[in-house]
Amino acid sequence: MSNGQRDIQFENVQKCFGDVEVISSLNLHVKSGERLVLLGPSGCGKSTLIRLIAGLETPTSGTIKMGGQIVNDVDAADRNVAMVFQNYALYPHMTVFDNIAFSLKLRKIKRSVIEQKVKEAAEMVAIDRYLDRKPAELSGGQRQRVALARAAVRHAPYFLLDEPLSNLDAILRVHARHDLVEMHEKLQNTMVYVTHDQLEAMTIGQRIAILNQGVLQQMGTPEEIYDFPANRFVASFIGTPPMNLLPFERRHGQIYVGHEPIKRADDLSYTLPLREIEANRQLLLGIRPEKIKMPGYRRDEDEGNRCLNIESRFVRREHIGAQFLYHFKIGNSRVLVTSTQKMPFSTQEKMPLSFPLKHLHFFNDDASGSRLSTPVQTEKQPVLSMHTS
Amino acid sequence: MKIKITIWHVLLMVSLLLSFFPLLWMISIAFKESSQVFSHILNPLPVPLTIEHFQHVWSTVPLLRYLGNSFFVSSVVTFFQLLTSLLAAYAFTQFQFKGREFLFYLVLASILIPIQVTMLPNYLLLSDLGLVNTYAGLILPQLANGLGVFLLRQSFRSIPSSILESARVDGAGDLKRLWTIMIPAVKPSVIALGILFFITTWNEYLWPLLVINDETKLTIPLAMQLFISTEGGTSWGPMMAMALLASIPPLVAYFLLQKHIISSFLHSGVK
Repeated sequence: MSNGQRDIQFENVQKCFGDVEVISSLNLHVKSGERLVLLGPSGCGKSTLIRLIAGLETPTSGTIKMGGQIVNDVDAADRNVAMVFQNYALYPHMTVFDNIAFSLKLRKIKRSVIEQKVKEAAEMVAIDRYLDRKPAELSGGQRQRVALARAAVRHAPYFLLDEPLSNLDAILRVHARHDLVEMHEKLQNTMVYVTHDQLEAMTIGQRIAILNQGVLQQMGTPEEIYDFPANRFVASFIGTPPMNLLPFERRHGQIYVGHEPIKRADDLSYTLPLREIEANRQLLLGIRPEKIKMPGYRRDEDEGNRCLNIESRFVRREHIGAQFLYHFKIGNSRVLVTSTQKMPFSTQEKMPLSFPLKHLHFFNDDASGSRLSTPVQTEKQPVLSMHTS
Repeated sequence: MKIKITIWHVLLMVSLLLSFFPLLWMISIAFKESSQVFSHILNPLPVPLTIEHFQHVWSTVPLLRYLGNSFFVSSVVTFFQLLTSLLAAYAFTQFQFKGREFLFYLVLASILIPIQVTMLPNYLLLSDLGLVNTYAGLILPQLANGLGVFLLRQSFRSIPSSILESARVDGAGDLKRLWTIMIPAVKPSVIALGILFFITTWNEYLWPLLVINDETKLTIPLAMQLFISTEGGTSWGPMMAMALLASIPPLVAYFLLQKHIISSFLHSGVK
């Protein structure tokens, strides 16, 4: 297998466990040498997907290609992948050295070369002092680094990680994230990383694939996914706090947001193709909490942008570190707004919130929840990979 | 509460004495003079102490030869029973195949069948094969043991599957995984099972009695019957002396490996 050809291709891959379909007709292409993050809630099929790549599961139908070769029938031992497991899966009866050296010994590599490689891998994650210890004598963070070193030592062309940081505390997790990204920059192998943590996904992934219930929802760079979520699920899954989603409707020429009539909606006809809303269709209006402007906000680069102004009631304010989180109600819908400014609002105070038109997203309020393109955004909107099934 | 404990202690001591009595009696008679073996009182103390029975055993039977026979047969049987149990337990835990459960219950059922049921068909078969009165005939029907399969399967199931999957991804095939990951992970169970197999085979009487006639091929339990004379009574002294000598090797093996078991428990353990 040449170094240039380390891509992974899923073609109509389906995986069932008994009668339960875990992955349905998936098409996915992991580029050679990239860091792809598989993101999704528990049970979305992301772990099954990575196990399919590793060869620990075989697809029910469809083909998996690695480096251009179909690998459906290739055993895990022969796929040349390295994998880090969620619980690290260190061999309990072996020392750290033997754990890291295990895969090299199986390949009958010379003792002196093994020692050299193990030392390098251990130094890369700063565990070279613990080579004589057994896994039981190490802390969680150290074990996690041993697992990383064990997977890295082979310089395998494919590097798979199944929620490797989920058992670490918050501080260690940040360090481990840096270690991982820097390690990949050095090794330049094709890395597939599974997580349910969107912050990990955004910081580690060069591209992110979002899965829900075995279906690929969207695939793109972190920016694309954050700025142009392909559907309601992605919009509500990415972002802390998540995107505000409000019922949006046009009846008898009147626009309603959160079931409240909007007084001046002329501007909106530019934003949304009229035919989309004339059919009395139920839509969802989405806007990120940091894009909403409260009365008295500092006028910055958004100045002069057209806005949708909606009457709201202030509920309460929370302090979340670097910024404040404001809770408002529009009709019965809750709207969250983040801002670094501390505003002296009082409970139940009525005020207009400004939604800049260029930051509005529209989604169908149906089972698909798919995105409607808006004229303002199409100028810079990239090609979205919408799910296929 | 205190009284309760005392009662328990008394009960325990009584049952301990009952189970130890035959052992003590064996040791006692081995060192007693022949005239004292059947005395009026149940005197466990050998006074005066004598080693004449040991000398008698040594001079009349090829004791080392018999110990060697027993050691050879027990070792070979233990080795193969462990081997087949490990492989079968691996298959029962790691492979998915049709009829797996059924086969496993069949293995379990084999534990319940007593030797009295199988010894005749086995004997007839060996006789047809011309293996009567050979070590092969003694060993062949004992190469697999359902109990070993059952116990090792239980142990293997306690190993987290991710460890085995990790080894698989690292490039280890089935035999490598068994040898480098699974056996070390359940080492205490394997050692304990090995001791059990060894002692069971060492003490075996009925099956060797059927198969072996040649006096040079006797195992220790069979050799002891040399001192039972059908005409002139039994030489209890030499027989007990021999029984005492015969029970030393398994005891030594047990104590040596017991250390191993404890240390294995302390230093490994799947975490």
